[in-house]
Amino acid sequence: MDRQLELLQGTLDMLILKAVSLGPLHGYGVLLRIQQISQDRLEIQQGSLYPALYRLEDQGWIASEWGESENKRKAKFYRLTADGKKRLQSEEEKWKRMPEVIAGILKTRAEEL
Amino acid sequence: MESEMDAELRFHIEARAEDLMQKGLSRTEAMRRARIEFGGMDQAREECREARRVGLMENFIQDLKFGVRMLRKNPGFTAVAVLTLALGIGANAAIFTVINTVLLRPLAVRHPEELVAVGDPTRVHAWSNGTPGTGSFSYPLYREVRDRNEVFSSLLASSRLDNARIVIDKNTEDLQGRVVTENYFETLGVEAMIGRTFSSGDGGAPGKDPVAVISYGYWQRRFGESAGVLGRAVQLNGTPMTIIGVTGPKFRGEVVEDQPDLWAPMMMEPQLMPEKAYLETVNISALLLMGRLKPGVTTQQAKANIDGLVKRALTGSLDAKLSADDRAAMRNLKVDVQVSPGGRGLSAVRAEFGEPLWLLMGMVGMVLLVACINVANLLLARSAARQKEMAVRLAIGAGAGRVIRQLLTESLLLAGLGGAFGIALAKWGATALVRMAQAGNGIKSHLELDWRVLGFTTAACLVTAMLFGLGPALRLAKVKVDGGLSEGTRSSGSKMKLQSGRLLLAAQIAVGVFVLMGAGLLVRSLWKLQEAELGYSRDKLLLVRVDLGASGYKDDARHAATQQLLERFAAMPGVRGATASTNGLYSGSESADVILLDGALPANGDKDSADDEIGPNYFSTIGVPMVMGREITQEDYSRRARVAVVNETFAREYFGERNPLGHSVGIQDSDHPNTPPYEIIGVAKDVRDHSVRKPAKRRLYAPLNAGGFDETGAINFEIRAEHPGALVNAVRKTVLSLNAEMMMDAPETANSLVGDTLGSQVMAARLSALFGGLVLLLVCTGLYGSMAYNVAMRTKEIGLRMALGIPRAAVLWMVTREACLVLAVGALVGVPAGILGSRVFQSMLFEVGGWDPVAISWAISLLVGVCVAAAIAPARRAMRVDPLVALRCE
Repeated sequence: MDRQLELLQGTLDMLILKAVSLGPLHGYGVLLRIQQISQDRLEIQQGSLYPALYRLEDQGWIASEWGESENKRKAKFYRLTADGKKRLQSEEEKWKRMPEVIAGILKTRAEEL
Repeated sequence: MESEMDAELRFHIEARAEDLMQKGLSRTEAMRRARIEFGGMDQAREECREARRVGLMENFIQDLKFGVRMLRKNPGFTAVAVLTLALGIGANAAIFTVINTVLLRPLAVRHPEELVAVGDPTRVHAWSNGTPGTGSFSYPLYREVRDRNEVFSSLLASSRLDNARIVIDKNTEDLQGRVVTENYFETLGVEAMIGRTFSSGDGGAPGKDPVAVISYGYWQRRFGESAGVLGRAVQLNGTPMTIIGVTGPKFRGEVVEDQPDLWAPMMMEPQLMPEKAYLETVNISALLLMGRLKPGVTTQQAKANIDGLVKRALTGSLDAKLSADDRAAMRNLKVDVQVSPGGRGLSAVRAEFGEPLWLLMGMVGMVLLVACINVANLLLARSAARQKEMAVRLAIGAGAGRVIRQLLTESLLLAGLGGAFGIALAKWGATALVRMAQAGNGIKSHLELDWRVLGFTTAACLVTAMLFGLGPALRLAKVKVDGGLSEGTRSSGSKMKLQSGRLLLAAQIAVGVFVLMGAGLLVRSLWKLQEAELGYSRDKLLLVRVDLGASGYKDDARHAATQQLLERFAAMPGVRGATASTNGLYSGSESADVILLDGALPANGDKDSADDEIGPNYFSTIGVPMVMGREITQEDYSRRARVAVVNETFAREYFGERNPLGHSVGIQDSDHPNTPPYEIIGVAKDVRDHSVRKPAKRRLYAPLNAGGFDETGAINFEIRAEHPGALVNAVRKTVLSLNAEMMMDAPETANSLVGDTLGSQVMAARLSALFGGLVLLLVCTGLYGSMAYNVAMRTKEIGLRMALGIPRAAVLWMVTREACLVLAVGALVGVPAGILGSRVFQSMLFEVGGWDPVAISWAISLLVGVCVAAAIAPARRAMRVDPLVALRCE
């Protein structure tokens, strides 16, 4: 397997929103799902997961609720809010357009300036 | 208790560990791996908290902006709410400002908490000449205590400087002065702003150091803050003095209600007050002492040391200076010197105004409570309009907590605005208050909005916001449960709202009754005090105190001057009679002596009695009837007859049922031995001559020119006239016509002198009436708002009922029924509460009890009146509802 890629800045937020958009998850579950949907190709720092979750909750894009996990233990579950859905959509737009822009920048040769 | 965050993180680690265990690791190994994978737990925790904090701050700012927008959208509501709050908070801040100045604020000295007062801290202007006591100190006694105590690292003494008159460059002016020991400034820790203060060098032999320190205020007023004041030569009470320093602007001496302009060294006292030179006599106790204790010494230890010291001094080293009588008295004296914390200074005003001020604080707190209820009702009314907005917010996922936080921020904004306006009101209010209380200029100029006042106001704002904001906020958050988007919610929610609205109104009425009853009781008390029968014709007397002694008249010259003044007064137009006395009426001076009845000490009862020396026709002039016998006439006076009059209490206590006439009464005073006794020729009715509340003491009245009593120098004149107030200037001119330099107090009518002693009562009565008025205003607006809203909400219902043919009267009843219910409940709760509450200030009341029917009926009728006034407009609007229009509305 290739070495895992470091996250680009600001990506973690988008990943969390996407993960949660597929269904409510607790923090560990978010981690597993991100690994799952990224096919384990991204390097996720576990320690920065929770600060990000708290931040996103504060901004109103995800909401939390205590519930029961699969093995009947108390856990805090996060789900996407309506505002969060809109935010996710705008992030998707940005990411769709970004590769073209970056590629253009990187391809520039000295003569074209 | 594990926090939520910890629980969440722990779950994560355990879940990961379980996954690892399924792959075959042992539990301990799995947990270890899980932790390592996670990374720094503490760092994660810290970052989470940081995320929250930043979030909170951003949220708060967002809430504030939103709140401001909301308030601007509803200017009417905002104006009413802010005004209401400003009134409530401002009134509280005003009272607190006064309380701060009089009761709480420490002196502007170094480490005031270390200062200790020795003696009675309320005797700030008392000057006692006679047998030594332990309330205030004589100079020799102070010297003994200062030199022999083991508990004070330094001890100062001070007294007032009487009749201080200064001449600067040929301009004469009266000022306020104090005479202080040379260690005064050093002990207090006060430094001069320019020049210097007294040092130990200024405590040499009497008269050797004619230096003075002036206050910043006086320096501003008289010298225009010029540095040339240092070294300036002036004349103080005829003695040349040099000004050597100016104190800073914050220092105003150790007596709270005074505003001294100048301090002179105690060693100059004999030069400055020659008639009352007290440095060598143990009998004049005019000094108040303050000092700093040695480290580790408690006030109890200090008291024990001082008590012992004083007793030893008065029976030992100072013995030689005492008369035989006093020596005997000292042996029996139970020495009980008061040693108390002195950081807040000495004050007589504090003792008088303390209780009334706290009472007013309680009342004004109630005013704020009523104001909060009004604002809460306003918010509740608005919440109907905002329910949809709230429901939407909750539906899209904003947590209930977020919404509550936002609403509370709005409340804080309102309270903050109210508080800001309130503070502006406070300074003005406090000044007006003090002027009303006639507490003296000292207090008025000391009022300032220091950190304590601002802190109090801020706390008041916070509490207020909580009080009126929490309820509506919680109510709105509950809407979440209903989902609340349909119209249906409005009716069920509003029913709940109606119930709590009613409850709040009833609470307002109850508080209103409570406050109005208190005000009523205080006002009635004041009336009774002002109209109280004092035993003499208080409406027809003008009183003036002339200090003949200080003006240079002694012995026979004094008698002659008294006689001349009496003749001149009697000759004035409008004057029905004039007489004189040593102690007078409400003059503040008093004397007492040991009595001999028929040559022997009294067998029963106390051995001493108050006494007074009076001029001829004293009793008829001041309007006191004789119960038995006759009074001292001009004829008795002219031939210096040894006759005396006693009052009823004296006769009753010493003679019981027997007739006192003809018996001899004398005084036993080793200063005046062999004074022949007097024959009792009359018994006069009791007079309340020093206090309206306290009953008369037993008193002996002897003629002024008979001799045998201690000389005080000042004589009080009582002038009877139909319109005493009109003669004030004429009387003053008459006195000055005898001697243009005569030292005298301004003439005052008896009523006004009595009134002066009632200062605290006047303040309490007027202010509580003011607060009662404020509460009435708030209740009126609150009730009006609530009823108007009700009628608006129920327009449909009213229209329906009218269309069904229900008579208008019934509709009227339907609308006002609620107000009546609220009024009844409020009164039923408020009246007993008021009766119980009045027990708290029972000591301030005079001849009225808590269940005074007049006060209760005032309170109730005022509230009924206000409720009726509030109900008129809404009721009329209800009457005018057109059924067709109303029904079409839906």
